[in-house]
Amino acid sequence: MKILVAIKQVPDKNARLQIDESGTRIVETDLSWEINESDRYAVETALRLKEARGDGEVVVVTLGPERARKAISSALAMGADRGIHLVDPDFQGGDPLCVARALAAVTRAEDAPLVLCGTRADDDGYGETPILLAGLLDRPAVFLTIGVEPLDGDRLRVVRELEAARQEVSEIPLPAVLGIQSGIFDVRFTSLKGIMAAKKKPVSQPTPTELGLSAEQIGKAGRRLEVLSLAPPEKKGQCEFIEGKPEEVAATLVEKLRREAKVL
Amino acid sequence: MDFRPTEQQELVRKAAAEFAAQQIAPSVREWDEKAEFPVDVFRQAGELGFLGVLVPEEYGGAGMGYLEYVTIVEEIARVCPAIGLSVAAHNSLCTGHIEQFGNEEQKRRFLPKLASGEWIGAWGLTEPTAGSDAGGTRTTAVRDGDAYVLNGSKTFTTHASVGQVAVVFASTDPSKKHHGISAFIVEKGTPGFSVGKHEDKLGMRASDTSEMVFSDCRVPAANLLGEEGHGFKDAMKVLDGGRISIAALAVGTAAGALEHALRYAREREQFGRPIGSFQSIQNKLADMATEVDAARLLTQRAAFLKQLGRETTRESAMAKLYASEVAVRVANEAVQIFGGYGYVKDYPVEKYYRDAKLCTIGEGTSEIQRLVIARQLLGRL
Repeated sequence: MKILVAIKQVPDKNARLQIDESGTRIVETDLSWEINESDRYAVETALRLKEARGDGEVVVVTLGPERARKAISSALAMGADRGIHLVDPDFQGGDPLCVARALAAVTRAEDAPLVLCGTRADDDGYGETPILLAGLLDRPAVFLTIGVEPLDGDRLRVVRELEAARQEVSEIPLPAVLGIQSGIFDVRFTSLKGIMAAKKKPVSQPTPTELGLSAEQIGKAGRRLEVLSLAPPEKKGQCEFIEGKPEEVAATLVEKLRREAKVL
Repeated sequence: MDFRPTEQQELVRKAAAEFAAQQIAPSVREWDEKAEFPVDVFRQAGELGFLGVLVPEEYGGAGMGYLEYVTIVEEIARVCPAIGLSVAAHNSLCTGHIEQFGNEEQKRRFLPKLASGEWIGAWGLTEPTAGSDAGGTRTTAVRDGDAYVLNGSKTFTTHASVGQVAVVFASTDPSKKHHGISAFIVEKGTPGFSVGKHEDKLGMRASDTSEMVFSDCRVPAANLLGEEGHGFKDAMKVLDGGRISIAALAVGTAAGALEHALRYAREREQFGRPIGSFQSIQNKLADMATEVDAARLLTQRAAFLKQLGRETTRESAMAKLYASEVAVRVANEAVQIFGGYGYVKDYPVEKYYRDAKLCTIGEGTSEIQRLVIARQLLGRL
């Protein structure tokens, strides 16, 4: 089975972001980049599915400028077989729907029965791509996927994460689109052999025309959503002392971290 | 001239950094305190190719170059210099010596196991009475039929107790001093080969350093590595490469200490301001960062020239000398920036301070590096 994995290159988690003069973009000079966290889990899921079946092809696709080629190379070094880089300037600068249109065109051209995406991008955080893609392709979609198991015939058993660690198990027919959640297992380490092998793997760069897309469906020209401004979080110097017995203090702290800070 | 890393080098840096962050970082303090060498994690590094970086693919290695190799050593040392040291010693010394001077049969027999990490390698040159003066080697090897009989001992040997195979130097003709030294491959379990004292070190405690003892140890003549009497000459060539990896180890050690110091300078507040806002701390950090970059550039130059197949005796010694002295200075300043917290084990920089010192001693002291550089500059006067 051919599995298409859509990945995005995002700024390194530890990077210190600065907003440019236009107030709508981050400054890219000296920034280091990596594959979006949940997209790495999507690549790992695809590789595990291929290994479990003993055959198939894992194709990674990314939309982004020249620098995004490195995200493809990273995925190829992990073990993906082939890459597709939507690098043409007409693809760039679009909103999530434009990205989904380009990915839908690639999915059709590749005739890939299964498409995996990360749940959401760590930079702009829209979390719309897998759902829009499934809509455009008229396929079933499962979001927040934490487990995939191939069944007989063209069906998958899919586990989805719900609130409070509850799980939903469903069966879906192929073709389908899955949004993969991060943190669900250990993503493999990249080996030096993998890096050497990646150099020999093909990466194609189809143009919009080759994919049957017109300029107004994609990129800047197709964009209907406009970012007006970006702003860093406001610095607040609030400090609160919690009084009481240690066990009460701990209970209050946990409650505040859960309800107010939303970090638990 | 191009100072940008290639895409392959970037991937290698990320791969090593990720492995170090996930598999090494959580246990750094525990291994240091227990002076425990993490065999399983080391083997895992082997599975990923980090223990056979320079070994050609046909012998089971990664077949990469020196720039990739120094990148890996630096990234691992940044997190734990002791594991960085073990990676450097395994790759450059035992494995590197067999790769450069072994015959086809020896390469086929030993390199795949060393490159995969199935076997850990040791390299025994130093003796209680022969350190910088390798010509003073007292371990002897006497030909007896189809074997050599080894007697003597080797001290301060990395992986002497955890290794499965060692390259050992012994005199086959004591009258010729260092021209009478030969190298042998000795497998663990060979009768007469035993492990002596395990050193309790100041730093680099997670890396095994022990003594090897040879008592009428019969080593098959087929295990003679390189030509008889060429052991010392070959060892110097091996060290030309090895010193580049110790330079990388020192760069990683310094970079790790600097990273912690930078974070602390941003977070620690005194007089109502982060201490990084004070010029005295800024001056320290600026000097540290500049020295780390200079050390890295010297290391990369040596690696680059080595990769071209050039003789790098001078460049290797310069990189090793400068980078190791920088590691000591930078780790010292990092402790100073941390103040009292730099002096206690709850914070990471005291370990860099202890670990860094080895870099100015191992694989040739700073004094020997200066001697090597001066000889290259002046010739023998």
